[in-house]
Amino acid sequence: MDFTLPKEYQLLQRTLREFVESELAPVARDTDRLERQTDENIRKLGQMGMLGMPFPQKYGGAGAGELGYCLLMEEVSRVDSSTCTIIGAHIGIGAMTIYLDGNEEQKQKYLVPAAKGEILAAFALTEPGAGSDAASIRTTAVRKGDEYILNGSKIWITNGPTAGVLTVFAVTDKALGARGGVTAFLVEPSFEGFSVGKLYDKMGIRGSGTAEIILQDCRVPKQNVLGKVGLGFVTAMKTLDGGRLGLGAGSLGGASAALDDLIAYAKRKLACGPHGRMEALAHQQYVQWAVADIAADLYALRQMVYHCAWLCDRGEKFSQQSAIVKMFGSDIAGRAIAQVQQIMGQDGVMVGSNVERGLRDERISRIFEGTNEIQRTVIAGEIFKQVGIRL
Amino acid sequence: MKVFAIITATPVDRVRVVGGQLDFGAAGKIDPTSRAALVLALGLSDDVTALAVTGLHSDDALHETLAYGAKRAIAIDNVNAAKINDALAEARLLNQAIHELAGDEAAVVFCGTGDDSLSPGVSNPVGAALAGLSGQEYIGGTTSVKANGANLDITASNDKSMLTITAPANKALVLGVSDPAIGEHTLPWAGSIINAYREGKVETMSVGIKEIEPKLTLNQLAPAPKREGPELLTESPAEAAAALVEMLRSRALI
Repeated sequence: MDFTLPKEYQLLQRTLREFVESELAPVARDTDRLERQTDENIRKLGQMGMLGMPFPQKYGGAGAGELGYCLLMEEVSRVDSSTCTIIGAHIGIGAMTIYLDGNEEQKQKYLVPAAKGEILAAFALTEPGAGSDAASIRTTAVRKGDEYILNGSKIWITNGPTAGVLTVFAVTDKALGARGGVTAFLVEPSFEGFSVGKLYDKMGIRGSGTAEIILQDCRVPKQNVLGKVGLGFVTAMKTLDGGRLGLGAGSLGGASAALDDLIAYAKRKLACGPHGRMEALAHQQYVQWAVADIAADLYALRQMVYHCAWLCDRGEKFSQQSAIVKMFGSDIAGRAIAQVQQIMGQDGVMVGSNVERGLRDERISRIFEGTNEIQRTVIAGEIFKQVGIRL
Repeated sequence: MKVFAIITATPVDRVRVVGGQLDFGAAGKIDPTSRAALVLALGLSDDVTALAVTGLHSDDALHETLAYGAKRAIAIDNVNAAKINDALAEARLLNQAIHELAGDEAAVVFCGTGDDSLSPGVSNPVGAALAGLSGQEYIGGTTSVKANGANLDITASNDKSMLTITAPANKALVLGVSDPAIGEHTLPWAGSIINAYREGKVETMSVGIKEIEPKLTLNQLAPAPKREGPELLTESPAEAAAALVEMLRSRALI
């Protein structure tokens, strides 16, 4: 067994780190405060190949696979979870649907510009009545000549306000429901009947745009059916497997950054020691234990993320593992950042501090792309399936 | 005109904690001034050959040059390469390699200042030595080079002044590059990084210099002054240890 990152990924990781520290970190606070990532930074991400990291180079991607994508999410999340969310929605679930189930024409038309960063992609599944219970979506698609007419609305759509292409899931056969009655469509904002509704004011990841999408007699050419009619739910589920892994990698970056902040703080901050002497906070046992606990969690999470990416890149099934990575990663990141904030005391709640922003940004990771309760259901379902019990 | 960029790998200069683990900073990456030299070279030509004397991290640094867009990356090997610890010896190897690779073409060599800890106070010792050995012109502090018909427009600057020189493109030159900011925001495309290892190949070129002249030692420059007091002049380690214990005992230290 060789657990060393291959050389190309070591160089990729160092280069990504250099990029995020020089380009994203200095503006991360403004990205959060002004609630937007600049077009300039999105352009730079595209130029660097970051917006097409896992996809083959023949489709404009970097050809770095899921491992490269995870390294990207980890490094970006270390400094800016908002940008990490934009990338995650774009690559992990938006463009990924096209890569997994698009035909060659669709890949050339939508995946290539998405991978080059010329357009952003989004994934529109959630509805007011169908969040974690994605099978209950009500948006309809009715065939009319060479078009489908879509009606309904989608909520909480990351990149919704800026996307150049959205993968929209709609019911084409109500009787069949999720198993055969849902179809995926590639929708452009310029299509008649498409509009962006409410922009959401979020607690965290404020630099990433999240919006309601309204489809009112939205006319979608039949060529824009993604995959096969009726198999949209399959597209959604297999896409979410990879998306969850990316979110776990993001949690790894966020928790790593929190630990680094804590270590630096514990070295710098003085506190009264047992003999009345002022000494670095690092000498306090409760701080040492916190550092040790977070480091242990990170060690486990890092192995999980890279191993799951390895499974994916080998073409093996990884639904159960990616659900574990997402659940465990977001749980430990939440715990770690809260712990760091508690030790930092007042310094950790000041608006503008990394840990304050980190705590706000991190909270959603236990909720989006399937709450952690749903992840537990997925994990248990996969396990019981192996012994013949279908939950 | 044949364009070369001399590459050195950066030393471990920035150890810090990342994710609770020691991160050795930029170890294994191109030295910042070498990157600046490479960026200027690539701005002048899309057919750049990157050269590095074999050493610690040189293979990684050369792969990185491929990611940046160098056409060839060559590690200069010599039986004594591991012993190289001064600028002149390194320049001798590079000079011979460039001579063989350029053939009849004029060589334009971009050379970063690299790690100057071996020659403190000397600006770009390898570049200067290379120019001296080959009899080429040396221009230090190069900040930009542009092709202008049959000429090269070269701008060089330091803290006090800026100089613009026009040189024939068929003239061999060594251009020293000392400003790391030149390549600071130039990073390779992620796909090139993947290709640099999966498809790119670092070539090895053996240069036939049998002996590398040793660096001058401190003793040769200034013999250590003889100190007063007892000396441990013995033949074997055991005798030296015994003499040391005796000396410390005599001074009541143990």
